[in-house]
Amino acid sequence: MKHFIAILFVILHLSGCMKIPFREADRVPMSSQDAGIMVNRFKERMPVNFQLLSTIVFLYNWSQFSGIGYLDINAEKRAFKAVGINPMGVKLFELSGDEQGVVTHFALDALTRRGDLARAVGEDIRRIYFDLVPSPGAAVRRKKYEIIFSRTLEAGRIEHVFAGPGGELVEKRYYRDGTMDWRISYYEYQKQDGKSYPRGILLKNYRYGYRLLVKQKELYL
Amino acid sequence: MNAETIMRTSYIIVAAFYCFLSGVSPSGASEPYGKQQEQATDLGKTLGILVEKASAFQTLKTDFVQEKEMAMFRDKLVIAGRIYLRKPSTIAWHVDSPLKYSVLITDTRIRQWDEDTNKTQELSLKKNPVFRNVLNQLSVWFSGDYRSLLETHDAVIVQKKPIVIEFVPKENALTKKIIKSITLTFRKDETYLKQIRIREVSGDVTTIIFKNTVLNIPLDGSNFEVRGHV
Repeated sequence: MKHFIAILFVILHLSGCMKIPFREADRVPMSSQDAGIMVNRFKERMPVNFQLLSTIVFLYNWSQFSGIGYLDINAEKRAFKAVGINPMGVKLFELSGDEQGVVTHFALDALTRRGDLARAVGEDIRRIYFDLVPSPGAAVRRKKYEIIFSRTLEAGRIEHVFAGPGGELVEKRYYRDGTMDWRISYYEYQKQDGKSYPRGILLKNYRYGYRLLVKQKELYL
Repeated sequence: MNAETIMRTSYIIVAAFYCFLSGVSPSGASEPYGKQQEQATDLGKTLGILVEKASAFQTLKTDFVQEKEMAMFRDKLVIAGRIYLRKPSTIAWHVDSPLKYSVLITDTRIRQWDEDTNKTQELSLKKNPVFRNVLNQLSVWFSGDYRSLLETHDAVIVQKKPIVIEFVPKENALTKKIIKSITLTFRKDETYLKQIRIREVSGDVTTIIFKNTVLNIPLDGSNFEVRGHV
């Protein structure tokens, strides 16, 4: 019995313990969707240059921290600027990045002491906000309610999962050595000025055991 | 919360408290001696009046809007909320948007909550010497002994009606590397602050605008409750 409770405890912990505060896309049959057209339409709806105001919860082991994230994204140039602010308005870090790398403009000592903040945050921003459509050479696999695009990369395999009545990206996941390295779920797409953007994002990093929950508050196009 | 976060956070708290204090050092080092003396007298008089008016309350309630202009970004970040204060040393800082967050600071503890995690964290001041030091300073300011500020800031009166005072950290001040200046704008009746603007060395500008401020209002426990404050 003790073992059962312990296992249940671990499972609950690994599964997140926290209820996801977003609604998943409606499950509709995807058999009639043309995969190429669906991806192109999705791409057209995605903003390219925009600023985002979000709240972010970082969950690691039993620790949870929340803050405000302010992002400037240029998806075409694969460039970004990011600032993390605590709820009282105090800046925690400020970064910018592009194809050449990530530059830390400001970071509290305590954040940089624990590792390479610029690399970690930069990687997560790229995973979440860039490459939202599969590359043209990706293999297509159909399920009843999903269309999955899969492509083998140098170090692993990336999958883009499309679902819902609008044919939207609902998940991006990356496998390394056959095991899932990270997974990003996108929830509740909202329309604004002809563009569409998810109201909620959840990144799970299995390698390092942390999660990021992002709630979009404002989108500036 | 690390020392630097506390320092920056406390600076904003402290800045907000400046409306009720006014210990500043006469300044104007680049001015001729006579003018410098005149300014110092002026500043002394002005501060004397402000201290008298601004220290005559026991409780306070105010709404605030914090606008953060960041050098790297096109649009301002706006944070809005409320502050409740009870002398000598209890303050509740409630943020309503873009997220709901509350922090309660007393002379023994810090308690904070936010809606996204829905967790309440409590820190003891005994175990946080830096924060304790900050609160000690707040107590000093509330008690009216402003000598510690005289050691760390220069100040000038920028405008007399309404009163606008600019504080600049002195060369040896800990905040010199972060803060370029703090400008306070008082209300016409001079009983409290209308606005505070913090210019950072990085180019960022934070403006906190106080609205609907009420002094000596009866406050109850719910005003100082952090969990699910809205």
